[in-house]
Amino acid sequence: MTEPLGEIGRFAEPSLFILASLGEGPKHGYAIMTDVEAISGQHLGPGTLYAALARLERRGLIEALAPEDRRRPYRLTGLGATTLRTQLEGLSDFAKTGLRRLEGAS
Amino acid sequence: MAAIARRRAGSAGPVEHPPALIRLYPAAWRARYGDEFAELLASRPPSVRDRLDIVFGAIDARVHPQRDPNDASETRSPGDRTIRALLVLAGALLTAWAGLGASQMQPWDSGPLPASSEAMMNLAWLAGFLASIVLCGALLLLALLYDRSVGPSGAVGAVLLGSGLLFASLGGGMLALGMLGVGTALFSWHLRGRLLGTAPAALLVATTTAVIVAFLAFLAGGGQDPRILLTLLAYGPTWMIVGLALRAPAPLPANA
Repeated sequence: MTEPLGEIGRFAEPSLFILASLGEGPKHGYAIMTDVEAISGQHLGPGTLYAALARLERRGLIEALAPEDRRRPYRLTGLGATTLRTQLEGLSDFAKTGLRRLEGAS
Repeated sequence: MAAIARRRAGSAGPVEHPPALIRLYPAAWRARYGDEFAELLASRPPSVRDRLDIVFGAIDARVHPQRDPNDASETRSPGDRTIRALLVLAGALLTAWAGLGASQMQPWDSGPLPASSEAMMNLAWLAGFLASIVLCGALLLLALLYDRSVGPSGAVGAVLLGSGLLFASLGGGMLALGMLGVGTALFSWHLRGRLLGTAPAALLVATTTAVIVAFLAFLAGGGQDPRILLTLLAYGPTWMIVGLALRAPAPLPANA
């Protein structure tokens, strides 16, 4: 059973970006921040990044790995991967429906 | 943060300081994320926009702490939340009382108050009276729920402090001031390190002492010393800070 990211409130969108970034493999905070900028074009501030990371970790969607010096990598849990897949499939369906309607109208 | 301290002690290179903005976060958050957050800020120095984002992040971490549900020491019971809410409410009412009183205060020898000022002064008195009832209730609840955490002396301090405030609002005079002083000393001493950090406990002692001293000066000056208003204006926010800083109780050590 997956927990909808909507329950994370205003951190839902940054959380989805973070999950998508970690879908590629474990990353630490700075790597997540730069990757999110690359894949979404959105700047993720440090405060927002860690507020979202704390929420995702608290909900068991990501987990922290052993620190590498002062950097601590995070990785998706099984629940996190399932949640990410559900969210992305929902967005994909939504995008397909929107595009189909747009094509029907033109 | 511990790693930063270690580096400070052991490194021959430039001394690293944790960015000041991290100190805005609560201690529990810093213990968990402080090192990696400091590393992130070192890797990518924050812009003005990022600094603002960090300030909002720190506020969020204080308002919505993401605690581990399996850690019993971090759970907050309905009793904790009620006491915190009552203390903050009492602090807000005390602030309203002092603020209203100060705004309507006429020059000390200008004769009777106009009717509008008198109404506002009555409103201020009502706010002060309600504040003392709410504060007394919160402190009694704290003494009842946490007597094992703060010990008998801490519980007695809470009761003395609460009843002293209520007594003072009813014009209890010197006896009320005595209860307030002794109660605050016991309360702050026994809650410090258990339910309260050292800084808010010290703040409570400092502002209460200032209120008592200013009140004595007020009485000695025949009701002509306006400094009491300044101390009262600080007393309400102090209780709001104490309410916000109150943490879940830790049990007394076995030999206490």
